[in-house]
Amino acid sequence: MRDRPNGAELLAEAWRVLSHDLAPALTGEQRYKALLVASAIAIVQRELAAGDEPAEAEAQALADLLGGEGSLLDLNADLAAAVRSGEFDRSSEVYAVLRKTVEARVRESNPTVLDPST
Amino acid sequence: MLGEVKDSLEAWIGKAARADRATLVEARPLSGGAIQENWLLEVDFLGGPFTGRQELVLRTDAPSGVAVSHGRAEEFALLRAATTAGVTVPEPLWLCDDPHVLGKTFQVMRKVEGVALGTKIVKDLRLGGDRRRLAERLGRELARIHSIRPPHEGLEFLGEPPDDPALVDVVQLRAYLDALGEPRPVLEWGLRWAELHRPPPPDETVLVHRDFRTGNYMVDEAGLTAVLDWEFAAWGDPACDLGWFCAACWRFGRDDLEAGGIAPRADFYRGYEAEAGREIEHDRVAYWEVMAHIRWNVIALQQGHRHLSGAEPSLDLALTGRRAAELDLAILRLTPPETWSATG
Repeated sequence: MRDRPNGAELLAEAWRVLSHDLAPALTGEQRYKALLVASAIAIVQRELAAGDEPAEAEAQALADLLGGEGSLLDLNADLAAAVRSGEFDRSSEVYAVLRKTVEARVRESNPTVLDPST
Repeated sequence: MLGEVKDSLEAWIGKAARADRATLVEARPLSGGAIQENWLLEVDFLGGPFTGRQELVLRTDAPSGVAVSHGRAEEFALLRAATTAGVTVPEPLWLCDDPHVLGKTFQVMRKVEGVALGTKIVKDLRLGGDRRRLAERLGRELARIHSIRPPHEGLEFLGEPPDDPALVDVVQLRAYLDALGEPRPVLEWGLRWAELHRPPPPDETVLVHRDFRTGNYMVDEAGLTAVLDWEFAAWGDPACDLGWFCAACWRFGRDDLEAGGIAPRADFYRGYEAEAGREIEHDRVAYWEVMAHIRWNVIALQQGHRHLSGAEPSLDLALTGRRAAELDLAILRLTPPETWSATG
């Protein structure tokens, strides 16, 4: 068994030190880079917190939509090809699945753009 | 980098400036621009029209050059054409395609003072002067760019004007996606919408800048000092530049200011219409705003891929790649099923 603080707990503290102690003490290009590192850490933190659930939910939704099994990559490739061919024009079913999986990705990459009013 | 070529560079610049002698006082790399290398040169000229100390910018192609963007010779020709059309650009001075000077083609322009960084311009209201006038001015500048029409002497490298610019983009962006080799269902959804809902070809095909947005022009305290980044210019639909400038993805957090995060859209449009002498087709611009999100999404993926492939390890590029998700969301918000035409 791994010791604590675990990876997520260490990252949380690393993020705090970087964004609260280091970045404010830096200027220009160095400050910019410190903030980039802080952003990267924040994405990793949200990915760790979400775990495998988003990928599992996406695979299930795509399998239901396409009526087949396969890896997440294969399912996405099938959906992409079908959308390009026009098979799913105006499909509210496809739209709903796309919207749901994108929202899960944005929740990890940049949740600030998820405005609940839209 | 310029150390070992100092003598040959001084000799070439001196000759180009018709000076008796040119002395390189300083040369330092300028940040910014993943595609080209920029150097700030301070040169002492003795004799000729440039006599005295001059601040110049030297631009070469960087090793990570993207195939789709123009090289220095083409950029030089574009800046020449823009200058003639009355666009505010850094004055293009000399082009060197002799590989014996630097080992690669480069161009030299006059240095322009100012700030280009989009996040800073949007936030720091001491920059750019009155914002509504700045937007109007940018509208005028864009209209002047669009006054350049094919065929145009010196711009033959741009090729034949496309019959259907929107369709050309759809086809090209799909090809870029295929080259990336990663399925992107949301981009496919957006591109299918873009294929079905594209406007008829424009009445007039013009020179389009293709990256005219906040972040790619320079301002000082008083106002605009230069329109930059010409490497994607092409013949196309003028509305594509208007849509790119106004697209929500280029407002740097000021979503309420639809003209590039700096002013209401009406100010930008007013300047454009006054200079162009024709009315903007609003529906056409709305289409190109959707396309702006699609195109920026593909470019963001390409930038992430440049990091991932090892071609150019960079946290900046890596994080740009992760912006694809929010651009996906923006595309879906703009193209829900009820916006698709019944025939589509």
